[in-house]
Amino acid sequence: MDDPVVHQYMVKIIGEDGVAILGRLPAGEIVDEVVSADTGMDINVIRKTLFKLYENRLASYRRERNPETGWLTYHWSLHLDNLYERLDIEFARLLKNISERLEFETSNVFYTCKNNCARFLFEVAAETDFICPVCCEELFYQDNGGLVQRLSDRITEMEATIRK
Amino acid sequence: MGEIEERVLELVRRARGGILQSQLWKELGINSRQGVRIVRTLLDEGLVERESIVAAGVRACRIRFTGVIEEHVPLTVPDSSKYELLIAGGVFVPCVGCIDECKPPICIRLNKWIRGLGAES
Repeated sequence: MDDPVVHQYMVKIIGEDGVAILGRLPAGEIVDEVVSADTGMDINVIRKTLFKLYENRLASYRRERNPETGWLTYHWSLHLDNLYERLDIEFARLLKNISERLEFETSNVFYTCKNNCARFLFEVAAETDFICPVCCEELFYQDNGGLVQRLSDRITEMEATIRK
Repeated sequence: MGEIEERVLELVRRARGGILQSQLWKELGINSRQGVRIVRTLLDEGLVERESIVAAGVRACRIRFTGVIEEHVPLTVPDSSKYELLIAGGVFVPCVGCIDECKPPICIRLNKWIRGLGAES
């Protein structure tokens, strides 16, 4: 959790509260009610955190039904060893998404006004006679070379780490 | 392997001495017909084994995990510099946990992240 990337990933999934809870969970199999009673943490936040981890395959549970009351008890186990596998999935998704964005940037021509109201595709700008429909200023060609370069650089870096 | 098969396997793996089929059905809230089909899949893949036993005078089946149970899996940290590429200008990739329809060319959150690429250079 000291790794800033891991920390930010966990914050995205379970929030700052969840990360704080995660740091206080005992090792081994846990029962949310017992942890709440022992640590004084809000049981609902603990449960929410554990279910979020479960959704991301970072925790699993087994249920036990009390034969007398019929109540279910959840026994939780953490699987933080899956963390880097999950980051690999996010890595692949990001690479796909920014590659798609690069394709969009290189296969289109963009126009914008001096007030930067929005970006318009050439086809849209031509329809409005190159006048911004928001502020009525003239639309002019927007050079997206810098953006294309930055996206290309990041894609190259990411692909290079995959080939390693 | 589907999610339900994974859950069955996890339960069997945790029960060190094996688990009765009837107990499995109860834990998962499924009927025996569904359960037997799932166990059959795991048997065919060689992940579990089944033995007939008599428990409290009643015939039953116990399912055991056939693989090696690891006591503790240490967290192996791969080259973490790779994952730093998920961050741009201090912003972590917004796609994590995103439930919006994925449209990368016009995604506002992704735009913000991409602007961070400029901040880095």
